[in-house]
Amino acid sequence: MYRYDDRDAEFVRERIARFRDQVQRRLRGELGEEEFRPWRLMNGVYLQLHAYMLRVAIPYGTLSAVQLRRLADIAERYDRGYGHFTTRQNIQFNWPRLVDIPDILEQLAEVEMHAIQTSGNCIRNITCDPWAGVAADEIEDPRPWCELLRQWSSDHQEFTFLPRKFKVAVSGGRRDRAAVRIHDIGLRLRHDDEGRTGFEVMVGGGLGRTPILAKTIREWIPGEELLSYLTAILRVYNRYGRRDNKYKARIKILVHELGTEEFRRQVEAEYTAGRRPELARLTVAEIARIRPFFAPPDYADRSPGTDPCAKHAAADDAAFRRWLSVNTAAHRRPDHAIVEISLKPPGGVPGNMTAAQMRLVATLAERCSHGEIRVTAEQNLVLPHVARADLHTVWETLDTAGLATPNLGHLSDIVACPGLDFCALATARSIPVAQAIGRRFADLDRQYEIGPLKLKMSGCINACGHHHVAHIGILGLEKRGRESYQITLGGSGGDEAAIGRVLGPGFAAEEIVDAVERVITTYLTNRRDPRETFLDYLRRVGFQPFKDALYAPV
Amino acid sequence: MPLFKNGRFVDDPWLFLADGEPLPGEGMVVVSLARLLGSEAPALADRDGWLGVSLAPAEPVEKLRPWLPRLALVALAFPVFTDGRPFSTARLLRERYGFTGEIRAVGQVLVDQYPFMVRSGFDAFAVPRGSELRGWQERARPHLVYQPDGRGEAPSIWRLRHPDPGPASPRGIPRMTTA
Amino acid sequence: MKDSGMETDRRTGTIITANRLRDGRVVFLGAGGWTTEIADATVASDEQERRALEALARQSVVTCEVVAPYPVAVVDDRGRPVPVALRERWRIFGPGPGTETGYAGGGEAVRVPV
Repeated sequence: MYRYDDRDAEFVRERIARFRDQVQRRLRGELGEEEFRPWRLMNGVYLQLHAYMLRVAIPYGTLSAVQLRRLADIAERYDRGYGHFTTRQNIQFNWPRLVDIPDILEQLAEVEMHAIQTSGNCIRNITCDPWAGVAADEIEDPRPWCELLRQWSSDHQEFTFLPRKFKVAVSGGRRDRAAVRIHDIGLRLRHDDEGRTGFEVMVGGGLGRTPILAKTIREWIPGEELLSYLTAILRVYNRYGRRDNKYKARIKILVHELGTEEFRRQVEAEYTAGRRPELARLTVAEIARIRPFFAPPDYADRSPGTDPCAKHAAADDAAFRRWLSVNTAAHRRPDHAIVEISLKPPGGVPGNMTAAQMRLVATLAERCSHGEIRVTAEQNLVLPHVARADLHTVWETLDTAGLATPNLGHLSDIVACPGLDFCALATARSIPVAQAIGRRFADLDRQYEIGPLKLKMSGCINACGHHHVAHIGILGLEKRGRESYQITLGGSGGDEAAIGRVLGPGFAAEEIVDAVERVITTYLTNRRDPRETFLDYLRRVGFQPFKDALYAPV
Repeated sequence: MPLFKNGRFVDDPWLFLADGEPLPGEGMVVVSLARLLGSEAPALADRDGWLGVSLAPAEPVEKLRPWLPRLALVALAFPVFTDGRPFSTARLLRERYGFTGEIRAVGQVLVDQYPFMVRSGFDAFAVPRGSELRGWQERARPHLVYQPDGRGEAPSIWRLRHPDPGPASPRGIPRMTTA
Repeated sequence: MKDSGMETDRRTGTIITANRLRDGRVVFLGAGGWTTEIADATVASDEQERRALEALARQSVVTCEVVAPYPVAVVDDRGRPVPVALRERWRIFGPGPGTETGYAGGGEAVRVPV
């Protein structure tokens, strides 16, 4: 894992001191809310529906056990004993007091964490593949690059007052697990014929009220030129992105209005004129400095011996076997596994975790995952380095804390935003709907029969719950003073990214779970065979059977 | 309007001319881009006395290029402090066009933005009326940053970590290799 | 959600809500100043009363007591004002039960089924 040097630590401390000063000036009335708001947001503090909310960055989704334990402490001391993991590798606390937040930030800084640029019209937390460094299909670990970008984008002199927020994701695998095509800039790490590191650059993705997938504007930029190239993209955006209408201010609208070709031409012209050899020199030096931090842990001390997995799997331990096949994935070392921790128990709040659960996972990570935890865009956690010999112990421990629901990638592994229970922008609740769907489909055998399925829901058009890229998406709106839930079908993330389409008119809160069930029943009844997934079936037959099932006249 | 420059408040020798106002025979004047490029251009070019121009966020700095040798000041307007376009404009003036005159921030200029402005190339700040002047003296100072390509006194962490080997470096920029 | 907002025969009015600056909590302007209890909110029944409340609220912004005050239309529900708009009802009565994993209660939020 990356560790701060004295300068990184000083940078964060200085930044907290500035924010503490800004908070005090705000409380004394020297700063009005208008002048305070951007600094508040750029330090992760929202004013939400009931209270302030603090969003803490988990850069590139990597957490240490020590850090997770600190999050538990903060949840108990300053909040209500839990935290909420978001879809962008952040954690949110729902009830902090403004006057406490500088202290909270200092306690985070002690464990090398921060809330810098987790909100505001600036470059946000850089996200990446939660399996970085351990995935069997990885080209190269993207995290050194994410750390470089974290540093480069922090307090950037030119790009801190952009037209709108700006999200960057980096993927280092052959498969995209960072959803790069729904980001303002998506980077896919690639090697050229000479084996040099570089990136495919995609621009202009995003969800919200205008969902668009990012377009590739450069097949390959050498690694040392990355920052000059990103500077060019951001400069074109900063200068020409729309500032007259907040809903048209994202870079995707600029790319769309200019056309991809013209946008590319402008970026290339700016890149050519503005290339900075010094930036390239420092990129090479800084990447060389950062890379060793992400060296694999010392796996050698695990003697493979006999694999107890095989033993337990052979024994009639059905629950363990289910978990093993659903919640673990191939590690680059055959004697290890990647363990996914489901934060989606039946009837639970997607992404929520209590302080006690955080501590349990921290201790487990120290014992069985080289002290490392990852956070996913699907609101789950990962233990990235579990020896296969420890899998049974890990499963048992997680199970005692309600963290071993074997539903990864299945219907009840629901992604949901906080919705109208917490969010100032929401138009409808999400959490209770997710809970109700989770309970309705709690039967695991039924979920396995349904097969791989991604259900995501958002409580407003801003789409924090990523419903546009779900196989089944739910969007909560308000219609004449009541909640109304629209179903979209056919979205997908990752390599075969697609934006879902709205099926038809919305359903009331008390109807939406039944509507989802009818969608599922339609698929189960009509699929060619159990190997035909929901998405395959939908792509083969289209929307009509679903429309008939949901909207046919009675 | 108080003018903050080089760490303190100074007298402002410049006269900002509104578009209809007659051009004085002498003295340091700042005109709008429209006026600079309009029918008065020859008069402005031949005039004795220093010349400055003020630019709104949407006005392209590229149009100033032929005029830059003649200009001693470029004022970049912040109609609202959240409009970040002048940061790009200032960097282009300094880093691409080599402008060495004064770049002044005018409009809604906040002391909290001072470090970002200095690193982008601003070196003078028209502090809005009603601002706490003592706050400027206390808070307008550089702080530690990562980016190596800023101006002013802000120390770059990257430069501190990786001092420039200078032109003696035989091989130039090493190319990126794989991990 | 019950349909209190959809009925028109009950007396309607306006209250002023805001968030307390120091801790962000939802507050209402009442006779004794800002209160966390909606039952203690002053209901303006006409334009003039509302303007008077808004002027008081603006003053509280200047003195840094609250942030972002705004008027909310309410109907009377057995002597207690209840907002008309869905969002405002959730802002006051939410978050819903069971939406806070690990939260054992004891906080300030009012928990009333809506």
